[in-house]
Amino acid sequence: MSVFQLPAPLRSFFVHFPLHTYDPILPKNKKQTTAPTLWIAPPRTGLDPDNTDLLSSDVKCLKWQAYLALRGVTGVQVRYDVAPDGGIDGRLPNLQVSLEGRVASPEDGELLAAHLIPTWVDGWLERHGKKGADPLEGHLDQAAKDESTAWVALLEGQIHAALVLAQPTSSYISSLLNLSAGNSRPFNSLLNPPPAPFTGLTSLVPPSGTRIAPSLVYAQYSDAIGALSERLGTDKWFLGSESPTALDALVFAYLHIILHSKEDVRIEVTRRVNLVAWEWRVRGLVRSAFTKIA
Amino acid sequence: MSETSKINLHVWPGRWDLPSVEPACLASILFLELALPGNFDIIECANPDLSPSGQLPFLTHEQRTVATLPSIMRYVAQLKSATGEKRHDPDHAIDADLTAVERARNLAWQAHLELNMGDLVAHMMYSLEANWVKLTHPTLAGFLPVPQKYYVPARLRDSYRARLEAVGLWNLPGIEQEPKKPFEAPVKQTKESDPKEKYLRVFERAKVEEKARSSFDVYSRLLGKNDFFYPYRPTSIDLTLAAHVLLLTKPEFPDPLLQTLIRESYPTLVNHAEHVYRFVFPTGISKLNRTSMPGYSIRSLVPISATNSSHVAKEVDPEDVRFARMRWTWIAVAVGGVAYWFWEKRGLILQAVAIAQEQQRAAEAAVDGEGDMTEEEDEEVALGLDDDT
Repeated sequence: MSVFQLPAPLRSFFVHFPLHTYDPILPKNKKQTTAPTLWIAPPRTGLDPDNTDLLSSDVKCLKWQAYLALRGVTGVQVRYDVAPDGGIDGRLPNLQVSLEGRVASPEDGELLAAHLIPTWVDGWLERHGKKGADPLEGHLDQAAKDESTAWVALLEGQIHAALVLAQPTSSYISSLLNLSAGNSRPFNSLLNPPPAPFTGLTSLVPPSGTRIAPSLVYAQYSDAIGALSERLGTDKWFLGSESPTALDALVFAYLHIILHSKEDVRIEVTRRVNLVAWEWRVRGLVRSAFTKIA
Repeated sequence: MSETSKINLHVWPGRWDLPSVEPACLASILFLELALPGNFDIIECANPDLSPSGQLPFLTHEQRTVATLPSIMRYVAQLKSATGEKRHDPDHAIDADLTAVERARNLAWQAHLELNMGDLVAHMMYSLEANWVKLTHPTLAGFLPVPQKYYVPARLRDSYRARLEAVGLWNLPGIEQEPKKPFEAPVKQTKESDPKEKYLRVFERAKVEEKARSSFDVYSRLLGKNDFFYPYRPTSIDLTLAAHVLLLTKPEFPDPLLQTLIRESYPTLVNHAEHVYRFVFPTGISKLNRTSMPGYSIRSLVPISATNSSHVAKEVDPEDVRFARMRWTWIAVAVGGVAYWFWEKRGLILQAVAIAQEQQRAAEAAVDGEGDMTEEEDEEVALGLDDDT
């Protein structure tokens, strides 16, 4: 017995607590992970349960969908009912994979952030008797691998900037209500040098907003799409690779999103036959690689 | 090209034996000197708000204003020839000898250089505290008049912050990251000997070096043992790479993190930059036609000057006109809506004004009544006093 005892009035008061104990809340749909499941942002058609188009409307999610499909990973399911806040670091996509007996069944599996997906894919391919990690990442040679970094910069810089600009802007009220808006990458972090503030640098008014000349952004975008078309030519895959690479996945993601965007940006792609035909062919491969989670 | 149609290139002024302190400005000078030697003037300018994009460099030619480096390159390549025909002039387009695929590849490398090398130069100039305090801030402030010299350099630095944070190059350890509040008591600096701070600093610097190495390796492999990326003559990517490398190697950085790395480990890139510079300016930069922009006007202190005060005629783009028209339409609808609301509710407003006036009159009447009462009471008091006497 402790030397210090609670005074009787306090003890009699605390007896009443807790006033009510609720039953534990158990997850309703806890299921054992049976197949790798990619968590993505919803497709263009939204959260419709009868949705047959499983390609995400978000370029980053679609990039990883295409990556999994083009690397030859099969049997992957997708789910798009998880908000970005539910992902690791508040971002999608995430890949939910089985722990393969490392913990007792039933288990939820392990959730991987996007940057861990290539390592998991290499392991999966090796387990299934296919070619896994490749130092050249599927490119013909080191020069082609280096060149792919330049095309990635073009896609994620100038083309992404035009895509952001072409997206409809949300109203002020909806931007206040939409708490997840803060996760999107600000426009002035896409380009270097970053765009100037709308109020100017030299005025006495504190800097506010972003000063963007749409004609300049679209002119650079037009050049970039022209260059992309020229570089693809009649090749099966970008940079003349014999098999698809991560660059092909990224190019497909951007082309697919552009082809379902506003006329301003779409027209630059639709007037280039080789890009449209290439996107159509890859879309078939990517679409057939995924099933919706049961 | 005749004297009347001479091109004016507006750039940040030069230092450290370079004609400009900004990579895109320096690349545009190298480009124009190669494409149109002696046919352009450099206007040293420290007011980016004069540019249509809000950034330097920008070019004025006849009635046109062209901003950003890629647009300047495109414009110069498509300059009207002496016959007035608009076409690619091989003398003006330094990439004209390349095939279509090589030009496409160049465009991608151009984007890679602007993002990756641009980030590294910005990291050295704006992110590292020692370089910012002792080199970049004093240099920029030296270009600017009062009062702009007190706030424009910090705004420029802030404009780079989002970009550098996104790529993991805004890595000032510890308290340097925190925004300073006015009149805040000075915070005790963390000692260099603090092991945690020291570890953080070393770790962050190693990360920056690793990132820089990955970019430098790619350019070194691309260049190989050649003088230029393509045989015989520098192209646009040679000029852009040289502009960035020169701005990493020429200034006397107090914290030479990447300067040491590129000088000691990548002599190919340093030699390439110097070779390009000598190719473009065989006799140095003293023969460049450089003039300074007239000083700031009072109008530059109000933000409206950012869009309207440009003293040069702009090339009007239909897309910009559409945006401007939509913006003014929105403002007109908002103002009209408010005016209409007042007009519709004018009865209520007049009624409210009448009630307010009524209440005011009533209040004044009450005050007057109280004043009268006081006079009567005074009289009563006076009469009482008379009775007593």
